[in-house]
Amino acid sequence: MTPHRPLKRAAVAALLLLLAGCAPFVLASGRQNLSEYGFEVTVPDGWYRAMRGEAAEALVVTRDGLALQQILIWRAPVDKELKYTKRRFDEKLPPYELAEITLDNMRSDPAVNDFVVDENVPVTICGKPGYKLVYTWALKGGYRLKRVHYGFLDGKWMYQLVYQASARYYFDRDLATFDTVKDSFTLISS
Amino acid sequence: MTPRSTTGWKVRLGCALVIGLAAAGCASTTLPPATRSPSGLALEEDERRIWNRAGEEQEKLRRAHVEYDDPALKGYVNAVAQRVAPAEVAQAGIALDVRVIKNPALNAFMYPNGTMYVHTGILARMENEAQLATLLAHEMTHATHRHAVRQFRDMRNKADFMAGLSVATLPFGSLGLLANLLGSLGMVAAVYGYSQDLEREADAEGFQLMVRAGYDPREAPKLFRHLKQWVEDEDKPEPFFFNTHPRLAERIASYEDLIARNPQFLSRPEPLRIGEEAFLAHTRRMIFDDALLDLSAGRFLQAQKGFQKVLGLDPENARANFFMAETYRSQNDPKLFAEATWLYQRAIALDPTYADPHKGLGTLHYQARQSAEAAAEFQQYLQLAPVAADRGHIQSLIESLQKEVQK
Repeated sequence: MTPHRPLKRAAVAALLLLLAGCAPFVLASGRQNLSEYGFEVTVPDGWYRAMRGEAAEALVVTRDGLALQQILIWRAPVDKELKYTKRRFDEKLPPYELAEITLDNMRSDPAVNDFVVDENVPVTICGKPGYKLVYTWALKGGYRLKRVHYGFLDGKWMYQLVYQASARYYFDRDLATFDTVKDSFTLISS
Repeated sequence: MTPRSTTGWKVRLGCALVIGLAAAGCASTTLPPATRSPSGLALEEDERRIWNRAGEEQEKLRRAHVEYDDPALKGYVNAVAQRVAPAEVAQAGIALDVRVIKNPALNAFMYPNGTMYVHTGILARMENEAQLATLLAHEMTHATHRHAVRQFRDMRNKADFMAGLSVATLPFGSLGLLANLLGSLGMVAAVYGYSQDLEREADAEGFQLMVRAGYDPREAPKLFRHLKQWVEDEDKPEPFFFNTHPRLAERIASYEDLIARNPQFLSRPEPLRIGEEAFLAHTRRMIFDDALLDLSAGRFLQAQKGFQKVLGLDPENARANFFMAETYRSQNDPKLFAEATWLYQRAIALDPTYADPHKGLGTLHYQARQSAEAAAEFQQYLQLAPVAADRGHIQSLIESLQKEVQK
């Protein structure tokens, strides 16, 4: 062993520790208490939570990779600016208008093409009136994605639960899993 | 620094300069226009690669279904393009084909193989055919004068110099990375614009083409002044070529200069064509649809201008009145609700079978907590549109409003 070898080992160990500390995904099955977001939810076995970038602002879980399927749950102040439309949610708006603004935000995303709404119905989540949307769109190369999108207002917060997957194969395969996640969703009273 | 390392540094820098200078001189950026090849343009190797890339990009756009579905508009825009195109274009092997993209951005771009994409956003903001001819002539010059390959070579020459420096001064060269990067430069130029010199050439050549086709040259700077006004009204400008303030200011100055230097174009014996009526007849539906895109994006001022344009042509258009009301209501500003109410009522007066204005009125009453009035309007909406896509929402809303009224 050369005198340099312990130093090299220490460097590799430090690098691994560093990488482990900023892992993009962590296994996150079971009941998740996300008090910072005001909700609890049960994540199915074998699903991973994304921890970086925009995903850090919400609960984003996937089993096979974000491009194939993902469940996103987040809340935002009702008057928060949306990413693609300048329209705003408002506490005084009825659920179908909140649904329309959600759709307008999607329609105005420059990466969204051939946008088709399959379903737009009222639902009740945690006792709150809300909406359920099902829609599809194509990315520039023609790759098609499909979403189920729930939304509702709770006071000053707008909650959204989304299941997004490749329209071919993955969407149908994990839809039932998403339903169990959605049914397990409860608000934590603050 | 030791004397030895100083020598090594000098040798590496010397090599880099030699390599860089040699590379910088190896690709010519001066190429004859395609229109000077009546027997067909012989593509050079790099130019062929750019054309192939263009084909791949177009295929991606086709698969994404981004084109605006209006064959009459497409036919009209292509007819104007053919009118301004020099006769030699087809002989050179450039198949001119203008496609309209459903997108509210102020954007238009030309691929070197002759396919041009014009966004509904830029078309909707034009006033007449002469302005359309200005844009089409400017863009087609990028193809006829081979700007994609010329800009590609210009950037590659500069990049080769940098690559030469990298090879000599870095332990591991980064040529592979650089080559990948360069592969996309031609396309980036097509979408985001060319160098100032090439853009000025497109202004000058395009100006000649539109004048030769009989259009009024004074409409050319007007187009860009008009676009500049739209950009200034927009608080979040997009990065596209025709949506950037300095680029539009350059175009205005360039076309004003061309008019000043060519006064003979304004005193021709035959009347100069503006073509406002023909343009508006073909673009009316598209202006409406583009205003809908602006409304979705929450660009209320732009949407309002679009619907106003439609109402200017057809004041009794119930749908335009309804959507104008929607632009007011969607801003969630109670000060605008009276105007929205008036427009909803006008839409109903113009077409008593029209359901949507009743939903708009119902929503305004709902926001004002006027439950009985809201329920009545929503009921009227469902009576007129019994199979509305949002029937479930409205029905459930009526039930909750009726409960409140009974309390």
